Order: sequence, then structure tokens, then C-alpha cells
Amino acid sequence: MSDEDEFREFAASRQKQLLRSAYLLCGNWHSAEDLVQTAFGQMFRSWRRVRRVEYPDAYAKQVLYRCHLTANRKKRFATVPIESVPDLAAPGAGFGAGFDDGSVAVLTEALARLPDRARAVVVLRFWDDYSVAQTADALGISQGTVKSQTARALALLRTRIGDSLNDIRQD
Amino acid sequence: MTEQDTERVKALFDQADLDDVPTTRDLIGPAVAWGHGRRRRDRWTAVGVTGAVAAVAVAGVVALRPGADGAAPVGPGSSMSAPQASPSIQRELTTLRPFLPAGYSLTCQNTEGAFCEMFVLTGPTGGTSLMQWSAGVDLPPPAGPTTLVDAVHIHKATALLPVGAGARTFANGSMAISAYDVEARNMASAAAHDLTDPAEIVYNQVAYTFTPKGSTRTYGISMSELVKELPWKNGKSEFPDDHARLGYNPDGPVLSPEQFDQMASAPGLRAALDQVVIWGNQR
Repeated sequence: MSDEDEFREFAASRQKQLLRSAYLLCGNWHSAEDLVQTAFGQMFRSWRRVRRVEYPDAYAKQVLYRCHLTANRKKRFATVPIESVPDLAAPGAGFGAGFDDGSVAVLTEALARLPDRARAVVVLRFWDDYSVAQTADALGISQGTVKSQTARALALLRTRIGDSLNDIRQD
Repeated sequence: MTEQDTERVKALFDQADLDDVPTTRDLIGPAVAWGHGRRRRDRWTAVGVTGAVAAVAVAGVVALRPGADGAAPVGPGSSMSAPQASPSIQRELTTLRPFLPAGYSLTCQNTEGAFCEMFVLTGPTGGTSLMQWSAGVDLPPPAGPTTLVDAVHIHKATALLPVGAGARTFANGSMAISAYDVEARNMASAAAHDLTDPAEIVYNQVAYTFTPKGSTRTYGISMSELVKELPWKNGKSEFPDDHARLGYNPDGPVLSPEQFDQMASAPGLRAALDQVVIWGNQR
């Protein structure tokens, strides 16, 4: 099996899993697909080395999250200021688009308001069930930063979706 | 934020039903195509080729064996789709072949579009170099990289590999030569722990940039090839076609600066190179 075939097999088997994480990071499926495709490209670029790593799944996640942060950094530099921004996202393009499920909408809406890195930390910690150490490793930041980002993110979530959290408490 | 709130956020994530993942397009195919392109660029970036040469010198590491018809059928262990013997590739080869020295042959190893991305030049003794052509206006000769990765070294002429970095003057113009030696550990197909001597020089790359007298145009070629077998610990390569993928000639580039000067001085080559580079830019 050539390394391309091997990579295609690996990518196909992990695509859905990565898309879910990407969706939570991006808030819509189109951007999530772009992010996963970018991550796949980066992985294939160095696949001959990647395939030898002990935990390729963890590596794939790491690439995905780092691609997300890098892409957003670049976006910031490419942003052109305009006079006004419409308040509402176009149908099907905003955070939470594509789901009727109320919990997903609440979640993605809340995540959208978090800074990029805090969002990545929260998704890794609470969606992918990464430990503080694993999250720090995946994002290339210190464990202290992970803890402080998590605390700030949770505080922000508390102020923004407190009612939803209380609903969960009532469950 | 209490521990209880943390649990609630976890529960919120747990409740989110993301089972239905829509896929609207192929994500893997374009990623693989992009990755192939980046691998080629990585090879030259690692060597630090800059400026005019870097613009065209997108070297490839592909598992294709050149065929007699100028196109490259898929070889064993190939990781690339085979380039088609398209009319445009045949046109490039037909345009360039008449200018080669006697006994040399030119084939196409790989293409990403309708045109040849990487040529293979075969010398009279059977040695091969991967090759690319360049042409430009007002391009200064390549000054060489300011920094090199630690596994790449500027090559100085030796008895075994006589083409060293520097400049030559010929009757019809001047030639800037950049030349590099690459250690085995820097080869994309090899990891240091797989090699008996990761620091062994196994690969050589040169670029000749010819500037005709009184002209601002430059014409160049870049060549690269294995000059030694990679020192695999298990005695054999994971890739059975290293020679076809990377070129192989123990004497270094199959074309000497003198030969390229003769080619560059031949009537018509410059126009032919201009044409091929324009075609190539259409990819």
C-alpha cells in the first residue's frame, strides 16, 4: 500500500470525528470542512513521519486545532475595517447553522463568543475529553495557560448561557 | 465558576447531538494534491534555493519511473498519479530535445497539470538528474541562500563531484552556479533513526543560470540527483525506486556547465526555453 493510499484510509476513517470538533470550533459545516481539509493537507505533507507517531489520532487533532488558530490569526491580519457590520449572520452561514437541535445551537452560539484560543481549549477539554496536560500539548501552550483560559472561558459561558446551564442543573 | 458549573458545561457538550455529519465535498483528494505540491516545494526550501531559481525550482520526490515515450508510467510504490503523455508535454519535450548534447535523452517524470513539472535528463552513461528549466527578465544570478538548514551544505568542487558553487565566464556570457550537498537525514523519504550514517552526503543539487553578454535575460536549469545510495540500516530502501524518484548519478549533475554554455549559445535554445517556461506557467 502506497503512503497516499495509507493516508487516504486514515483520513477517511477519522473524517467525521474531526469534522465534529471542527464544527464546534468554526460554528458551521462549510468552515469546518475547510478546516479539516487544511488539516488533512498538512498531515499528508509530512505523512511519512506522521504515520510513525505513536498516537496518530492525537496528532490529527493537534494539527486540526493548530490549523484553526493559525487560520484565525491570518484572518485577523486580512480583516478590512468597514463602517458597519450587520447584526445577523446570513442563513446557513452562522454559528450553529445546520442543526435544529436546541442544545447544539446554544452551545455553538456560546462558543462563538469566546476568543479563538479559549474556544479551542474548551472544545478540547469538554468535547474531546482531553486532560489539562494533553490540551497544553495539543495547543503548544503551558498547563497554566490552559487552566486560566478554561476558567475565563467558563466564566464567560456562565454569564452568557447561565440560563441554559441552570436548565441542565434542573435535568 | 464552580465545579458544578464545569460539570454542567460538560453535560452541555454531551447533550449536543452531532451524529449527523454532512459531507458536501471530497476533503481528502484536494488535501492530498496540496500535500504533494508542498512536499516538492519543501525539498527546495530545505536547500534554501532563493530568488529566481526558487520561483521555478519546485523539485519533486515522486515515485514515477520515466517511460520511453516521455511520459511516466506508475512505478512500484508510486504515490502519485501518472502524468499523461499529453500533447502539451510532448510539445515541451519535442521543443527541448534537439538542443541536448549527443547521447542525452529527456523525459518527463511528473506533472501536476497539463505540462511537465519535473524532467529527467539521462546522460550517455545512464546517470540521471531531475531537471527543471527557467527563464526570466532582469533576474539577478542567484546569490544563494543566506542561511542553510544544518543538513545542507554549499558544495565546493571535488574530484568526485567537480561542479562547485561559483561563477564562470564563457565566450557568450556568464554563468552563476549554485551547488549544494544534502545529508541523508534531510531526504524526505528517510528518518535519521532508519540510517546508519544520517550525516552522509547522498544528494547533490546544482543550478546553472546563464546570462548572455549584453542581455538582461537569464536562462537556467537546475538538476538534482542521488550521488550515493541512502545508508539504510536494514540494507535496503523502503522505496524500491529511489533512483527513479530522485535521479542517480555518482558524478553529480549529468550536464556540465560547459555543456550548458554550449546549449545556451546554440541558436534557438533561448527562444525554446522562453516558450517552455511560458507553457509551464500555464499549469
